Amino acid sequence: MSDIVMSAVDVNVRFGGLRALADLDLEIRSGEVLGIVGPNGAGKSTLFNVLAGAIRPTSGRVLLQGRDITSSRADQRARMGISRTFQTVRPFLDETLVRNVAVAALAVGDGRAHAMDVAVDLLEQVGLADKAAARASELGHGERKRLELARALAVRPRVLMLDEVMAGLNPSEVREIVELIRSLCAASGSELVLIEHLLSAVRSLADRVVVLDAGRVLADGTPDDVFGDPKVIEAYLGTKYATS
Amino acid sequence: MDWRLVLQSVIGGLFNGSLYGVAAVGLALVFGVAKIVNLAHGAFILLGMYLVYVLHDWTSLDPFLLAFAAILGGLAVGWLVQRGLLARLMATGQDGPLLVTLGLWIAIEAVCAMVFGSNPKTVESSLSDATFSIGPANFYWSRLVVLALAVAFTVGLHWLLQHTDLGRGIRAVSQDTTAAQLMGLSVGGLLAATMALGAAAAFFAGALSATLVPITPGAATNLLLMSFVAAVLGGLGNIKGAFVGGVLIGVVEGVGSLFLPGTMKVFIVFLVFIGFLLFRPEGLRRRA
Amino acid sequence: MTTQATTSPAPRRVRPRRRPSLGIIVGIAVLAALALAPLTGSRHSLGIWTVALIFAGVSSGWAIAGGLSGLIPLGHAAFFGIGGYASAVVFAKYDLSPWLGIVVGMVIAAALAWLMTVLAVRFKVRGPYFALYTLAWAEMLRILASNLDYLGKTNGVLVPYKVDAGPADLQFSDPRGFYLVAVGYAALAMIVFLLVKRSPLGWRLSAIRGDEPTAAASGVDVARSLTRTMALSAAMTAIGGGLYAQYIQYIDPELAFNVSVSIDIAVRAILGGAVLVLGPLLGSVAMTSVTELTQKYMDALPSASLLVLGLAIIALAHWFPTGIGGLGVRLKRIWSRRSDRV
Repeated sequence: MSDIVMSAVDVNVRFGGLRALADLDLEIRSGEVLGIVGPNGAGKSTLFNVLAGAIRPTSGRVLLQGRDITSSRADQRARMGISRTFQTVRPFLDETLVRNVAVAALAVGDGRAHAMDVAVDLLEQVGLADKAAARASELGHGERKRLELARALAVRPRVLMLDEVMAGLNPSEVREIVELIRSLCAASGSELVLIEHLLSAVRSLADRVVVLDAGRVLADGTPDDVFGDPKVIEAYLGTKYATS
Repeated sequence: MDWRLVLQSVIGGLFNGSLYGVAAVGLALVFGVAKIVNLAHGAFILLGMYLVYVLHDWTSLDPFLLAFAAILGGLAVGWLVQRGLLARLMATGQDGPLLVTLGLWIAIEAVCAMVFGSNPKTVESSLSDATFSIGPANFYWSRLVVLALAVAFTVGLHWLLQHTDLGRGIRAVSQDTTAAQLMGLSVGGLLAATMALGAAAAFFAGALSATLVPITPGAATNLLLMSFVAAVLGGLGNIKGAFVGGVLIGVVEGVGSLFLPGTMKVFIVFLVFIGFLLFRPEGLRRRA
Repeated sequence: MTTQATTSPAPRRVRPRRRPSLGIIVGIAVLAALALAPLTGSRHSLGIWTVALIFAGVSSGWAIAGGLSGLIPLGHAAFFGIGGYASAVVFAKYDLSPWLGIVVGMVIAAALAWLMTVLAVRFKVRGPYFALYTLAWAEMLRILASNLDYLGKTNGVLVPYKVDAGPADLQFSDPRGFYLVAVGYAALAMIVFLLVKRSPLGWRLSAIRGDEPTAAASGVDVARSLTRTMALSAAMTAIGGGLYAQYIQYIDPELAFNVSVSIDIAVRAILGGAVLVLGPLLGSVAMTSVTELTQKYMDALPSASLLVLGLAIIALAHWFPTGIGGLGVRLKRIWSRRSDRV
């Protein structure tokens, strides 16, 4: 099974008495877009934090191409090519958009001039080229999400984890960003992991879907299999998303 | 080891610590609710000292009685500072409030120096010379009164926070400002009340220490630093913890003075402080 | 075109342009002229501006950490005092050049700052806790200095006059000599600040100041960036402490380590604008001017300058959160926007 890029093995996370992740196993395979869904509090963001190194798991291991990276910090993992966006986007407000993105390119070893070029290109790709010299504080919500995407791409990710990039966007913005992510997947060759509440977006983008519930994997398979699974419908879709 | 000296140091430390404690309680309350590190807290303490000095000069009443008037003064000053200077800045979520309290600290100290000069002022209580003894050790009655009043104030504040509508409102704001707002609470009013109570604690602490130390424009700095230490030891934001933290520092100081020359006892206090910041930022409380 | 730009043919006109250098040259010329102006003044005013410039340098040193990284260190008296004591002790006790003492001070200050910050980062002491944490370190040094025989306890250390002293001993028969040293130090501190701000480290610090988790997720090594910055900031501050002790030929625990010294250092930078290269200088000049003016016109009230300072800080927090210098930047932006339209 050499096509496994990254995996979480038997991961547990406890916050005080709360068990946010329980004996969780997850594989991210080469060339796939993996969607992770689940109701609020299912542990999706915690899982991202564990994979990205923002939280050290209580027990269990995180592997990148077979190498144990459980004890490496968030910034080290970013430089290894594990990149993530945040659910609540917090760009560097006082800085220009180019600098917001360029600092990430700089961190993976680009020189400053080159980092600026990379940043400008990425801003073009996410459609923010005309605002490159503006400050991040001047951006609207949807634009900030796209800036975050550009920043996450700047570390040249092998694994790109997008946490609710579509939350709070209006339908036309969602359509735009779905298109954007589609083209990015095609172009960049990095594995894509997607946390999303918007199931229609997951269905149209993901090759494989993992459903989390109460810190455990409830289902794992193709979108059609998973969303047709009565277990999933009962635990999650049936109560909250039956009509959406 | 001389047992009389040990007793003297430990109980003396306890008395001092109660003063640190009551000052720390105000700092902890303001941090816990308004999330502000109030650098003006020392200036409030100073105002409490001078208020008692002025009132004593004017009425000749016992300073311990006047300490209750100082509470009123503190309530007024805290409320005004919050309403007039801090409320607008807190919304921006930047370093603004910290700067304002820094400016207040400098300005208030300057005003005190301008009005009262740098010559030390003293306030005498009728109790100032009376002593009592525990075993072989002798203590001033005034110290015991300070301890009693400090405990009474802290217990009173704690009761107010736990059992009144005002207190429930303040606790709601401290837990979740947005939720408190949605519940229809007047967050602005509650924050002003919080600052008023915090300043009242500072004024009270200043008033109590007015009988113990010579009053100068720089007299509150030590108490400010000690109350910061105590508030962190208690787990910033925790009222009871802050008071216990204060008492603990007093005792550490007292015990330290047995082994260490001069002011080195304070060195130990700061060492403990740094240790807590590093290893137990949640303070003395047991981990959840 | 060195990157993967092949996918998008859009013209690249958004490269942030470099600011015209003419303004900078004129600015430096004006600053140099102003810096030399006190040389023609009285001995008294020369002394005042010597101290003002030393503190401008110290404050620029603070701003490397306090402005660029977003940390709020409130204990820079620790580094200032280490510089002061090191230069005084090396000169008074070992009869070596105070310049050497300053270097010793820089090394000790940088080492202490590094240790402090390594611990603070490791145990996540941030925000207001970091301010109190640094303040506590400075207090410990103050207490230590006032109890150590080696450092003269509360009496401090006297820097003796030396017969046939020269610039190597930092003693000048003409007071203009020391003034020029102060000018040089302030300029050096500002240059170092600017170099850091423009360097890759400066980019990283700006990201950390913006949002730490996002910076880390962007691959920025937060711990390393902050420890290096604090060490550099401490070393630059220590130089100023050394110069100050040599200038007043004396150092004691209160002059070196008192909380008010830490506050003074920070306030000068904040007043002028802590993220701007000219901020600490502006703040320091403003503070010295206010002190001198109030002393001249309100002689009876020696604390009046502090009152003005306190009120100025409060006003600043309300209306000009980026300091005096920030006001200038804002005006300049409005100006350039207007001229764009023409």
